[in-house]
Amino acid sequence: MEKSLILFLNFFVITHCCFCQGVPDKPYNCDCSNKKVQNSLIEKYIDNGAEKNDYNKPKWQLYCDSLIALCPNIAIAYQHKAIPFIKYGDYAKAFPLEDKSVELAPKQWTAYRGFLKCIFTKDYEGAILDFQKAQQLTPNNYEMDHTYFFYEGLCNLELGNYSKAEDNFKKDIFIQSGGDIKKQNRVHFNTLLYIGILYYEMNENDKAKEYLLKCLSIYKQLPDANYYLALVYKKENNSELKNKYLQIAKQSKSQGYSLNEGNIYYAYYPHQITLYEINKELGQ
Amino acid sequence: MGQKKQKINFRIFKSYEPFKKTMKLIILLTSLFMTCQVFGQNIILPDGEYMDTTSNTDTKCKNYNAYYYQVGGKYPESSSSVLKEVRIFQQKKNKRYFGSGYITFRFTVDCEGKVMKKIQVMQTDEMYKPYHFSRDLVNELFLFFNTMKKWKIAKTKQGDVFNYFAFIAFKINNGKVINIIP
Repeated sequence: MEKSLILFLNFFVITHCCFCQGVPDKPYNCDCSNKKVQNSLIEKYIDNGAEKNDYNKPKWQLYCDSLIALCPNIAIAYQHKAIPFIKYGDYAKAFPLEDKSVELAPKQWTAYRGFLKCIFTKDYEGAILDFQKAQQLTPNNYEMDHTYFFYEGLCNLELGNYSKAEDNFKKDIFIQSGGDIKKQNRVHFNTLLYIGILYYEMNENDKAKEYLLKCLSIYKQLPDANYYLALVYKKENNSELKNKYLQIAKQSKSQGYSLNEGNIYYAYYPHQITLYEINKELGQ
Repeated sequence: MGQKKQKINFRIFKSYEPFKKTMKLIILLTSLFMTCQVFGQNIILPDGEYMDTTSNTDTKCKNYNAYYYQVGGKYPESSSSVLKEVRIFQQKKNKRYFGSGYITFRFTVDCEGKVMKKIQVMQTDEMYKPYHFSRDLVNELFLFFNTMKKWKIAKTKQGDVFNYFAFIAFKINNGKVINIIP
């Protein structure tokens, strides 16, 4: 403990004593309300500090703690400090930090916290509240490549609120295409996948097939789309097409194809499948 | 001479009764221990709470301080498949619990794909604040966790196998498991 404290203090002094310049009598006194000061501190302690290190190593925490000690009102310091905790299941440590970052910069971090709740902790009710708040703060914006409505749709799908999910995905498509029907073919394939899954769950097989096939026209190897399309054909007692798409799903999965989302290494996405589920359906 | 021998034998016979009782007690305690050892001991230390022991058994596996997400080490079944399995497991136990939040086990998977000792348990409520569920529920989920045997063996590109850190969290709503993380 003492050793860590000494290390921290050394690190703190070494890294910032020459930084907050202009106030020689009070070298540790920065104007934390000044945006330029904030940005230069972020550049030093986050961009060229923490992020130059492995987030599971003590230096990551030291850079974040140093920045917090200098200016406790910089939201990104708390968000960064929480990264190793969220990825390794320590929610009691992660979320007070996420909450602090949202408190300090709600426009910047509310949707991110919603994303963590939706994908990492599967707290769908909590995620919906965050995305609804984010929509008020920064309307029609994106988080991790998707609109807020996409994540709200995922949460409602998982909660069984199907009509709400349908509405969410329609809004997601509207934002992606800018309201232009001609641009609807540019919609993200995972939006199409999840609408297909939604209609599968709603027993609307024709619509499910339509969206899953649209999805596969963009990303033909996507194992999850092939798998759920197979399940639609299973409902229709079409064993030939069921087996066809299951085989494609199996082959694609074995070749390493997957949902193609940046965070699938940390947690399974809603309704995401593995080779185990494909083999189970194939009776293997 | 013959009388003396008889006396000694009698003493042996007399001392056999408490020995028998002690043996019975030992057998009883051993069988109790055998049935209980699968449950967690919940050892509480300043750095956290553990289900079994706080000393990690030294293996011959290499250790690069890798995490599950660096080796594609999520459990090779989807969250919904594991959820179905845990629900079947719990139905057999037929117990009711209370509370909402998360029960998380953190552990190391060794180079043979086996979970090592020193399994940490963490518990929060649904607002991510520290919390304690019923010990029976934690033990029941730990029993289930011990049935999960498909952990991936992590390998380098050269084929060297090594340990990695992993976790599994059970999301609980009113005492029922409703989701599995990761």
